[in-house]
Amino acid sequence: MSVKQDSLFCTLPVELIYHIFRYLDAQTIVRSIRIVCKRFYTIVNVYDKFNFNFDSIVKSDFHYLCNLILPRNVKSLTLSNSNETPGQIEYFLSRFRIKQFIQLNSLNLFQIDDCQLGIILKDIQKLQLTSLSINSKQDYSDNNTISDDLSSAISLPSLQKLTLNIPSCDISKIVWPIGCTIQHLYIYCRTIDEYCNILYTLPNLRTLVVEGLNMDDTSGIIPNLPNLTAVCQLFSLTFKYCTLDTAMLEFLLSFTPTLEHFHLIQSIDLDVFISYLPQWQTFIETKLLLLNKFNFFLVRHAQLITIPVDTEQLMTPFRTTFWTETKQWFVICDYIMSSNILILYSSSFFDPQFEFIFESKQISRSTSTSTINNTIIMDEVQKLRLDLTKMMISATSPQGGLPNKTIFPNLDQLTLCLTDSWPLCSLRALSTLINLSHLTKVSLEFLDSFDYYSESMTNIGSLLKLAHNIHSLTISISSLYKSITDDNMEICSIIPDHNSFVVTHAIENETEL
Amino acid sequence: MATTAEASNTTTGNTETATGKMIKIQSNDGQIFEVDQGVVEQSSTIKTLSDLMDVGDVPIPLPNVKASILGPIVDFCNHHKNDQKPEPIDEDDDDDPNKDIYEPKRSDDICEWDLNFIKQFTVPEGTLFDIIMAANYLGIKTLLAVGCKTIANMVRGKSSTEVREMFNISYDPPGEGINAPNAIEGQAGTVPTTQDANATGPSPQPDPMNQ
Repeated sequence: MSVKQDSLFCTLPVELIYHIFRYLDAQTIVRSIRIVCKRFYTIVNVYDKFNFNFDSIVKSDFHYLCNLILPRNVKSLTLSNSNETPGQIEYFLSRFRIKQFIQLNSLNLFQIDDCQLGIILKDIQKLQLTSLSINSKQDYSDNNTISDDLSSAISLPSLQKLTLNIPSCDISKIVWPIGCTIQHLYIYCRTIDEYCNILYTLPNLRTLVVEGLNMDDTSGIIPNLPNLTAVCQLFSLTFKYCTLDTAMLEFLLSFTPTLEHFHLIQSIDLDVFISYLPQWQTFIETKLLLLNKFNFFLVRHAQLITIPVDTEQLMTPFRTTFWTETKQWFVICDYIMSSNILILYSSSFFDPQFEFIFESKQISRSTSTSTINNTIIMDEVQKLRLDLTKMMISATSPQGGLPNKTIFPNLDQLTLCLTDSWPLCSLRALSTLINLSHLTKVSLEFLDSFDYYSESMTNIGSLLKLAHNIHSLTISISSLYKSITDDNMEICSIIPDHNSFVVTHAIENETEL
Repeated sequence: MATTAEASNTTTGNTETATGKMIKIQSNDGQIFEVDQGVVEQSSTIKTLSDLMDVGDVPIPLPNVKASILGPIVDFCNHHKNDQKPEPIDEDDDDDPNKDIYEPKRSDDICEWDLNFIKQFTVPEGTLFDIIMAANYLGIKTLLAVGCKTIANMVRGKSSTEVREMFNISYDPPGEGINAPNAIEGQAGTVPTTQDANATGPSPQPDPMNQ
């Protein structure tokens, strides 16, 4: 072998190599960099700021990395029992105890069940966690011992950020420690008294995201907590998927006069909010004097009786001096005509979990521009559903046409529906409409015929080549049951070499066999 | 013999009045660049040296940077001197509560000007690493981030063989037996055994992911 002069990459100082590692995923560092040369092998083995994120990882890669993990070198760990990674947490716990990860600062758990959570919570008592995120699986069963373990976990003196997304957990049983150090909290909190109790017992709280708060799901008794307003020093508050009316909104916000940021995500009726706007402006001007950022995302879903929507009339209240000049809070209204869905939201703000339905017949209005147009760039949309068959029919109709520039540059998940053969030229249209390289998950729904799926292999392969960052492909076929074993092999054969995939097949209507 | 090159100002054409006093810096091959405070503020090294030394009209020597690298660096700093908010690149600077500070930092957010800027430096000529080393030496965090992101973007998702080819790295087996690259790459998907001698976890159970 000829002797080559190595590039300077191999001789960079170790601190610069580590600096580069900060921009890389653990898979690349361990699978590739580690075995490039002796020096990198040594450097990777002593690198002690690993972030192992096993969400959406291919099973073989997960096993491979488990083989090479040195627990003491891990700073951040993400485990997930999602549909793409079933049984992952159980397997991980059969290999490791969380208490071995003595340098762990951040732990994220997704779709976890109560049994595994109990094991992990007992293990973290001696760690220096600064961030803990728990997201339970849907059929999570609450038990009393978890409340005790949670109470112990949240009393960790190092803990600054906590996510408790466990809808079935009775958080009233959790004992918050005196002088709790948590500054950022995301919590599924159902009742008003639980909410008030959180504000009262977490004096260091700066950021609070509350999900699921339901003003109807309460005893009607507002807890009598002395000096609550004085205790609370909240900087940012978000109500997400709550059920509130305007009076309750004002009541809750009266506890938090120090707010500078407030976000409202699908927590109040869109029409109620619009009719309430004059009072809302007064409330902000008199009660929330420090508020400089207010973002909202409201949806009016399709109704049985179609009511014509005058988007201009809807936007008029947001064109006042208060909104456009004093606060510079700009608003966008999207009306998807055929689905009769109306979305009203702050510019540069979008519910990341909302699946936007793209149709060519859509009206968009913004208070930051004066014209109606159909080509507002939707930077914030992360999930999109698109009927490919309908879209291409519309594109080729005399009244149709598709935007000739990228509308969705930051899309993460795309669902494509097909009710016919894969349309010609649709990939070109898709790659114009969407920044395909940003996608990580794609779902294909073949709604009427299994044959369309079989005939679409070449196009699916082309799509995967264009969307080279995809790591999850789900194929749903809503038709009479037919074995897809052969096609399963075929779909594996068209996956580009450069990528790893989790491929999930879902066949509906199996009972019609 | 030193030659003087006036630093180009690609953004604003600021005058001395607008930006304070001008400072001279000298590359290791003798070329002198005159820069204003907007540039100095971006380099912790130059700032420290200019604060410590009452340099007057004497150029600050930068023995680790040659003129062919220092010139573009001055251009970079001139372009960015009016940036409103420097990108938070330290863990301590990043106060977004929704972000895990240990998750890989974004590397797809290099602005177009910076992308074009970094393209003039290449791996075969070694200048890409020269600019990273110089940014590190001069303490210019934004430029260091652009360089490191560029390298990260190049290697992400690549195999070790591709990385070797990309950076002209000689085959240099890091280990024998289980540590040999072929053996390691062949382990994926096999039943793992922990390498941590201190591991005290329960015995491996049947893989639930296979059930």
